[in-house]
Amino acid sequence: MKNFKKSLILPLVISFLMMAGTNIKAQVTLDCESGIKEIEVGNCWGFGATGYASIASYPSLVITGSYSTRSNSLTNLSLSACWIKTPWLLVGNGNITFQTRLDGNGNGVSAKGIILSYIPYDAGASYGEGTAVQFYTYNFPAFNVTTIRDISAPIPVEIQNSTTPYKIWVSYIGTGGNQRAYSDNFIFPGTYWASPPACTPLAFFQDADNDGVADSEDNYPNDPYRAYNNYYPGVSQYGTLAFEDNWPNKADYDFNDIVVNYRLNTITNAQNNVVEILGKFVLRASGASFQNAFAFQLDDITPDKIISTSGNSTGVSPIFGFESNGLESNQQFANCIVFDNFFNVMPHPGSGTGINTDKSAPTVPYDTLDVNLVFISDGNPAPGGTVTINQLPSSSFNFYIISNQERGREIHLADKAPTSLANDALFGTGSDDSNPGAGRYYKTSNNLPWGINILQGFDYPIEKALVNEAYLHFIEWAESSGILYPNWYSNEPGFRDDSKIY
Amino acid sequence: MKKYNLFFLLSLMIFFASCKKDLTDPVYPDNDNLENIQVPSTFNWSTGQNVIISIQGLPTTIPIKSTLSISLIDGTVLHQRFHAMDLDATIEVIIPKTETQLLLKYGTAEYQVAIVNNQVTFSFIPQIQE
Repeated sequence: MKNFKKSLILPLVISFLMMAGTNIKAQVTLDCESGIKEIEVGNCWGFGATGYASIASYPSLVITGSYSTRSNSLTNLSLSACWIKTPWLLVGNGNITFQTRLDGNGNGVSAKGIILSYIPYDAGASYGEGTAVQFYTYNFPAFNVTTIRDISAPIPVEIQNSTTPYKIWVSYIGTGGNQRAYSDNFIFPGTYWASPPACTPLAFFQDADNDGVADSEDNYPNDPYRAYNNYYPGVSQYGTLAFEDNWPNKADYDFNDIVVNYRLNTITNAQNNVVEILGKFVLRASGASFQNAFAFQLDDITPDKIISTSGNSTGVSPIFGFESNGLESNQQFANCIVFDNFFNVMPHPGSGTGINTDKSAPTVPYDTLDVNLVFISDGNPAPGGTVTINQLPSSSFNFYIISNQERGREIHLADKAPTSLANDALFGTGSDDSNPGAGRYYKTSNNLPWGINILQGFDYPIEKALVNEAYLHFIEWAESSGILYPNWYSNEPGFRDDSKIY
Repeated sequence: MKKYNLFFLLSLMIFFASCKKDLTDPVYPDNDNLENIQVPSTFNWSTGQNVIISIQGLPTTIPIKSTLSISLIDGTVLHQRFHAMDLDATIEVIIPKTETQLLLKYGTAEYQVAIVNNQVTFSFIPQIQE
């Protein structure tokens, strides 16, 4: 299938096949029975000073069914005064037909008529509409009667069976009086050739991998098993997770015990199923003596939905067990241990308490782990079946650390649920004020957390520097529930004390 | 003379009191200020906001299917899906709390949509200005 190059047109192909099989002549109709003009406009019909009239409001004037079109008063000879315009069509042959009537108003001396024009496609013109060409005129024989008139206008020879798109423009004109026109049951021989919502003509597009997604929109145009990248927090952006590791006991709030940058790309196919997750995790600092691990759970995604896990740093710590797909054993939901011990990935520099939190100690280069979770391999899903992108929004990524090689001592972001292997007995002890029954987790009695998530990235405090002393508007941000100083982390004048930031 | 002695004595006390503090109080963080703050219980301690985007489909004349993407205003793409225009959809994204609008693209059409109370509502059925 790869490199199978072909041109496709929108699923209209299906319509063609159906028409061929049933020998139905292609036509585009407007019977107004949706009753909602906006739906027609959404399907690329145009209306100028013409609306829909309901039988409830105009029982003697609606032509058939519950709705007809109703123009403004026809007092202008301009084609642009009152009109209806079709979507782009590949015009067929035969006659354009519809029914019309005036409202019978006898005021004034009037002349009323209808003019049909065709509009060729001109890519350089406004709305792609070239110069209109009139081809049919109808004059109402009397203006003060409501007689229904059957209009039948032959399609001009020059646009019959066209291979380029046209619009048909129905203009209502008149002089004097204030009569309005009602119309209904429009039939335009031809094929609908518009592409909502932009309403440009349908266009051929390239689809090299034949997955239905146009190459111009396909992030993997030559891969039938992949179509889209979905980044969190962004393609060129890392978020920062910063944890305190002393839970359930009091934290020192320098938020540097584990500092990890993250960027996730959830790759999906043309069916909107998750194919794989590519996670980039940059290990930046561990201002701790504890030997901490870092992991994430995919909330509500069972482990059997994943085929394999790779790129993570595990195998040293004895506290973790793993399934054949690389996920942690004995978990209800999929849990990926990104690293089982920070110090196994980044070596201690030889002085200072931790790594990259003491400016007097040597800086250790960041280490990056590229973690890959495979959901579908060569089109084949895991034994548990597929996962849609809707089932795996960014909020499903439940990041946490495991403190000091004690498996049950998980520390999640505020109000994120623990995994199956968390030690529930720790909740409510020390400074923790979790209430699992109420969905409240990893907060103190005054709602302080043990972990924060900064989508825009974060320069973390040095060892033993309070985050609110490093970032001078941190407290206002927190107390206002994030409304005040939403950019407290940024390097703006008066926002931070650089002496307390690593 | 008494005044000078008293001044000298006070200066000496202040001097030694300062010295004592410097020598015996290593700089431990005083987190009382942080611990005593009043934070709303619903605060998520993230600079992000969860935004729910509700999309209303349009009954289409022919089946229309194209790429629906959600981006930040600066063009950063967050979410993409192959979407039939006649279907409703609900999409959840996490974006910086500083963002007040999103960019919704469908095929070649683009719309800037406002975020109101962490919600975005969008309809493929256009609003008509009469």
